[in-house]
Amino acid sequence: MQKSKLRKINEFIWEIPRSGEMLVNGIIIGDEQIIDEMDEKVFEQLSNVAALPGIVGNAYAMPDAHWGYGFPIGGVAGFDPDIGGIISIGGVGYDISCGVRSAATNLTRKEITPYLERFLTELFRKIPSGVGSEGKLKLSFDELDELLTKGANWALHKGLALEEDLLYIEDNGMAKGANPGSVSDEAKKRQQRQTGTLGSGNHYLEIQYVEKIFDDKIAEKMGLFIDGIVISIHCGSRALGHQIATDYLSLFHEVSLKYNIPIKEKELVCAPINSPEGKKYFSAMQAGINCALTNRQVIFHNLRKIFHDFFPGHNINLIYDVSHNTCKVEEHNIDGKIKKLYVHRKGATRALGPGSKILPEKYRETGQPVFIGGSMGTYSYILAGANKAEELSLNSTCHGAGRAMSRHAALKKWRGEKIIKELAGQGIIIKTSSMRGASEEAPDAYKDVNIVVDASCNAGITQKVALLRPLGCVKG
Amino acid sequence: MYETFEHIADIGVRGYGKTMEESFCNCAKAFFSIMFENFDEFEPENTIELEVESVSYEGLLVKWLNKLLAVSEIEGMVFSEFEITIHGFGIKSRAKGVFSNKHSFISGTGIKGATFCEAKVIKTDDKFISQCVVDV
Repeated sequence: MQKSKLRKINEFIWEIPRSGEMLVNGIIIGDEQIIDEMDEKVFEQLSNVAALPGIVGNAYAMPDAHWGYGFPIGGVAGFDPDIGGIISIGGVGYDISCGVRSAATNLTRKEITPYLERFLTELFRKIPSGVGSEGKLKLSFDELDELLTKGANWALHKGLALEEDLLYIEDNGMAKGANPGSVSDEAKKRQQRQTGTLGSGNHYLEIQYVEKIFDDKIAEKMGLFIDGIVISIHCGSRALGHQIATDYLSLFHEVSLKYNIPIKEKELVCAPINSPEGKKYFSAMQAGINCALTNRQVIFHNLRKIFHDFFPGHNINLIYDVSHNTCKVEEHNIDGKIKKLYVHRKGATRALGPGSKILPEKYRETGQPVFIGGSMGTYSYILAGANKAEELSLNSTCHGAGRAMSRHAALKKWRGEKIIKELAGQGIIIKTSSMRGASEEAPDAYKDVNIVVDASCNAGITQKVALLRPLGCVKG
Repeated sequence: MYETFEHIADIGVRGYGKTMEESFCNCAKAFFSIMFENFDEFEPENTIELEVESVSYEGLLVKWLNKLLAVSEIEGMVFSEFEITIHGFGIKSRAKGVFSNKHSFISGTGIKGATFCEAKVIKTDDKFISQCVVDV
C-alpha cells in the first residue's frame, strides 16, 4: 500500500484521512513493513466501509488485513442503530463465527511424544474433516432449531459439554437473539450431518507445546507452562453459516436499493439495523454463531474423550473460545459517551482488555485470551487483550498470520506429499485426506506471524502470553 | 476449457466457451475440480434439475454455482456434466453426477461459497468467459 496516501500517527498506527464520501477516518494497525506489503484493495475497501451509514469511531484494519469481500479481511467497524447504522453481510463473511478454541493440558511434550502418532491417528479417524465432512450426529429440523437458539447450551443438555466449558466461550456459548425461523430450509438441510466436523481449507485441529512464556502470571491463569501440551481447534459454522451468507447476499441487493444505501461492492450490501430486513439477518447470523460455537464444542467434547482414553488421570481444560467473523452488540466509549454499537469483525478477534466485566472472573484482571494461528510448520501465539484495545480498535485485534502466497501459486509450487514428508522430518505429524490442501497450506505460503503479533502488541491492543510450536495437525 | 486463477487468499474459477452456456458449464467444472481432484472420473448416474434467476449474468453465475454447491451437499452428489439454457437472466439446468459415497473421490479443498469478487461474464470476438472467486 502506498504510504503517501496515509497519515502516520505513530510507528504502529496509520490513518486514511476522511475524504469524499467517508464519514469517518480509516485506521490501519501495522508497522512500516506491514503497510508496505499490504494490498491496495485494503485501502479501497476500508474507505468504502468508512462511508457506510451510521458508522462511528473509525473504520479499522488489523495488521493481518487483506483483500476481502466488501469488508477487508481484518476489517472492524461499529454502527449506531440510533443514527441509521447498518448491518452488512460482508462485515461478517461466509463462515459465520469461524474461530479458534484452545485447551491447556497438564501433559508434557515428553509424555505425549511416544503416543503422538497413535493419538493423532485416532483424532483423524474420529473427528471428521475434509470436503463436505459429515459426523455421527444427524439432527432433525426441530433439534437443529434448538441448537441454533441455544448454542453450546444445547450441547450441555445433550451431555456434550461440561458446565465450566460454557464459562470460557464468548457470550457463554449462546448468542442472544438467534431465530432459526430466519434460516432457510436449504441451510438446515446442509447442516443436518455437519455438527462436530472440522471442514476443510485452513481449518485444523493442532497439538502444540509451549515453547516460550512471556507473562508468567497470565500464563498460569490459562494453565500454561513450558513444554505443556495445548490443543487448538480452528473451524466455523460449516455449511449452515455459508448458506445464510449466500441467501441474504442475494436478498440484500434490493434491500440496499430500497433504503438508498449506495452499493460500492456487491458483498458490501447492507440494511439498516432497525429495519425488518436488518433485524432478520441479525437473527439468522446469531443462529449461525450458535451453530459455530456448538460445532467447536462438540469437536472439543469428542477430543476430550479421546484424550482421556489415551492419557487417563491427565487434565484438559478449555482456555477460551474466540470467534473471528461476527457482528456483536457491544457498549463502547465513543468520544466520552457510552454507545450501544453493532460491531462487525471480519477476520478479526475480539480482544477485551483487563477490567472488562464481560470476561469470566478468571480473566478479568488479565484481559481476554486471544489465539493467533500461524502455519502448520511454524508457530502460534496466545495473547491477552490489553488496555489500549478499546481506544484504538473497538477491542479488536488480528486473527492469523495471513497468506504470503495465493493458494493457486502454492499448489503450483509444492506437492502435498513432499510438504508432509518435510514436516515429518521436523517432528511435525500431519494427518489429512487432502494433498491439495497440504500444498495450499504449506508453511511458506503464510506470512511470518511474528510481524503481525508484534504490531498488535506494540500498538498496545494485546500483550504476548505464550508461543506455541506444533507437534501434529489434523488438516481439514 | 476451464481453469483456476489467482486470488490473494481464495481461488478464482473460470470457464471458456463458444456460447455463454458453455462457459458457465466449464466454470462449474472448475468449481467441482477444486473440491474433488477426480470429480469427472466416473460416468454420471444421476441427474438433478435446477432453475435459478437473477438480475445480471454475473449474479446468475454466482447464484447457479451456489445452488449447485448446496444441492451437491444435500444430495451427497458430485457433479461433472452440465446442460443449461439461459433465457434473459434465468437458467434452466441439468447437473449430472454420481453419489459421493459410492465412489472414491480424491478430496480437494471445500468451497464455502461462490462470490461476486472478480465475477465477470465477458464476450470476446470468438468466445465467452465466465468467472468468479470462490471463498474456501
